[in-house]
Amino acid sequence: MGRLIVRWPFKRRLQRVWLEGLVEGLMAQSETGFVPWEEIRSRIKAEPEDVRAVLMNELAEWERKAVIASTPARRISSPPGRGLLAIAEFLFSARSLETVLKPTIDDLRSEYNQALFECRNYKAKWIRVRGTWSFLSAAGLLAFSGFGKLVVRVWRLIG
Amino acid sequence: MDIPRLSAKEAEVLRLLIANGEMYGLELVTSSDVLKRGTVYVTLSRMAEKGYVESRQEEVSPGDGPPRRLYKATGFGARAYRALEHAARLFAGGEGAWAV
Repeated sequence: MGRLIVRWPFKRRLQRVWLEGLVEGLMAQSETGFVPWEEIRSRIKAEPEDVRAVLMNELAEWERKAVIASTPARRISSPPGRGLLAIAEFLFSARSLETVLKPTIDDLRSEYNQALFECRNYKAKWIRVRGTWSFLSAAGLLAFSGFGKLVVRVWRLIG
Repeated sequence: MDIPRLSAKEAEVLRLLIANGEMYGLELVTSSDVLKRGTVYVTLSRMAEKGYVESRQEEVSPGDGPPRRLYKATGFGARAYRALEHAARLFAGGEGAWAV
């Protein structure tokens, strides 16, 4: 009868199953809801040395992935109204921009920052929508009054 | 000389500026039911053209946003508002001046 040779990948799979069982068991006992990494490590230390190294390596990989997964996603976003101001720079005079449109966006940003500071994310979103509407109203009024002034000037030239 | 004319919004802006001194646009909006976010700066810009208000850019940022533009009523603006107020009182018959 020949000797049974267990190939390494199969052995490793068995170790992984053992590790998963251990983690699940300890997680079920844990009252905090956090993975008891230290407890798992101490259990692994009781295993034979050749198995221990593989399990520790596997565990370290799990821990790294868990830390990444539990870290909230952070991204740098541009301030509200940046795109609107960029478009307005092409369409309106520097004076209109300085006295009407930029202050409207400044107010929007001020209110938006205040809402974010108070951790009121939905209010911040609402402020963004409302601020965009205010900006468009102001831009519309400016365009309309500009057109009105042009008509009056032409009328005076003709008359 | 042209008699200065004030719309309801302009009168409201002048009332607030005379009562509180320097204010910025958002502050005017939050202190009034008549003024709206979308139109307050258009109104202020028009009033600045007419000489009713003057503005300056805040030098230091307030902390929660960029430096703001502060507005205050000019002497001409204050006189125009007082004249309107006086005319409104006379018209309402408060002083009986119309009963000639």
